[in-house]
Amino acid sequence: MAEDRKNAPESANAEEAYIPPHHSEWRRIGRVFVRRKISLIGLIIVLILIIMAIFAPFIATHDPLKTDLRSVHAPVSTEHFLGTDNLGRDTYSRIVYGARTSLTIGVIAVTTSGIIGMAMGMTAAYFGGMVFAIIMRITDTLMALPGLILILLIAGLVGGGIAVVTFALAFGAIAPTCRMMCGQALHIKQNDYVLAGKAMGMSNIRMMVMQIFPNAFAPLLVGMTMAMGMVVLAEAGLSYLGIGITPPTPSWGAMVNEGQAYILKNPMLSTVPGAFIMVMVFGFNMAGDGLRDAIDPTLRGVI
Amino acid sequence: MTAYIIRRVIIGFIILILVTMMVFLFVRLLPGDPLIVYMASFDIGAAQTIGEEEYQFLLTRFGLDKPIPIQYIDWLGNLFRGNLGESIVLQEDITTLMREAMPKTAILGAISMVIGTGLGILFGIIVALRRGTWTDNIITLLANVGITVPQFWLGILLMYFLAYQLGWLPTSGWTDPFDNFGMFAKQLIMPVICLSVGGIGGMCRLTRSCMLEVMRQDYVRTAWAKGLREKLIVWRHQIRNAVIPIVTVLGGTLGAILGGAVIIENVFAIPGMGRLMVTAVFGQDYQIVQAGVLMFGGIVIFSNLVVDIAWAWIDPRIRYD
Repeated sequence: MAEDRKNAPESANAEEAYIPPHHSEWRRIGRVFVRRKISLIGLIIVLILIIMAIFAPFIATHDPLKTDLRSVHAPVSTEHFLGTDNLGRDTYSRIVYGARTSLTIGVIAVTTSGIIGMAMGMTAAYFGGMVFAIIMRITDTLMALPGLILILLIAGLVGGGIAVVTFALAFGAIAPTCRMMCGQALHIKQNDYVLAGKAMGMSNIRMMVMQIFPNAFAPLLVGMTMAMGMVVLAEAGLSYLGIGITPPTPSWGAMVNEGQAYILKNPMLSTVPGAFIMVMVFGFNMAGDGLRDAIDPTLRGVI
Repeated sequence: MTAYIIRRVIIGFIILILVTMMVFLFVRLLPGDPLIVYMASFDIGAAQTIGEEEYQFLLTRFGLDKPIPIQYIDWLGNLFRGNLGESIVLQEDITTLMREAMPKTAILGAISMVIGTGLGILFGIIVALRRGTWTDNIITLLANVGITVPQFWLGILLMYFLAYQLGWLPTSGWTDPFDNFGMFAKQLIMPVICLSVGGIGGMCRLTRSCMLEVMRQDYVRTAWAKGLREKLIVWRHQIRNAVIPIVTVLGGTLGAILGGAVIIENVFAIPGMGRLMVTAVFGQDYQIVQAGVLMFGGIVIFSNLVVDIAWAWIDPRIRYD
């Protein structure tokens, strides 16, 4: 666009001021995003699962916690779309409510870690020097432990349950977000408008909130979409091991584990919830991929 | 180069110390009293029946009565002497337990790592050279599925079809390769598939984008323009340059495979580190968890160090930043 402006006066009418056509950045992103079918499919999957989670009471046909010992391991029927488990609970309804569990944990963990990680990364990049060194060593330390192991350590020591799992997952996701934000902020810091802000006497906090954060927002949105996929997968893994979500709460990972004992009798019990985990993670990953390429094609493969 | 290596080793060492501190503090500060669990493990005397005196005796015996910094120093000293302590719950030497469990995880992880990165890079190159064709579309889609699929679910599916339905492979377990190599190999097939699928997918995607990036470079265009043979351009200019950034993610890939091994060992009943740690979590045997986490951390720090040095050796620009 800067080039347009430069070239304009030489063309037809030098007297008239050249006004470049206004393009909304978000509209362009939307267009590129929609053009790639796979990312659109990802987004649709995510939206369907979100609707499923929000309207779970209307979509589910049974109470997900209600056991019915008269119809244990019921086959597929119009009464029970996906049959029942070893306690006679309706598998379909449990899957519907499982979306709620996964998404709630995912959203809380990702936003919490996002806020903390962003603040840390931005501070490190903005102030540099000693602050940068200290924050980077902290993230190095956190990242030295494979994600799942760090989460296993916390969840294992404190015990299971939604709150602990969410905390553990959020804790595990801080370091990567911090790294990413730091990289972005270091880049943005070199721009002239930051220098202009400094010259105008903007305070450090104001500068970070008004200048650096909005400019780093788009790539971070991509990072957080991708992080959703990872967090959902990690929660499922923990719950599968029996360390995550504790039994009565419907969780896809835990359902795979519970169904495994009855794999020969009723294979759907553990395979269907597993397929839902995959579909959800796939949706988030593809949507994130599409968003990344739409926002900045040069970032391909970097985030 | 020497200065770079020294600096890098020092940073690696500092991170290792920070990791030991973090793990130690986590275990001490998070709730859960190992002594209560220890006392409860004697079925006659539940926690309540043990008096204050015995509790104090146990505190002294396991060194839990000293101030936390002293406990840390003691523990660290033992650690560097290769003594990981004694499990309060199992009453066994942790070093011995680890020595039995570690090789299994190492074998599993190493094979998966080699297959995952090797096949992933290979597929990535093939896909990049045929970008836009249906081969590209299908393999890229499969790679995306590969990084998405929950490993434990894949494990159960494989177990259901290959072991229960078709009876081709044993369902689970571990056999010593020196006892029965055939059985060892058969039992390893499914866990290795589960662990390497993610690596193959991730590496394939990364290699593809690196290759596409390199293909756009001026030196590749120059190579075409001066009429080099295609084979030479692909091998000497594209692949060699595309592989450099891939080296940097190897440390992370290893971490992901080790994390996955924790789950997969539990799916296929392999008595490695993962199974040891998860069992310890259930028994609230915090010392084993602590030692296991440190072990994994140490491996990742060490491999990142090797990767960084290797990278600086390949690409001299890194040394001077």
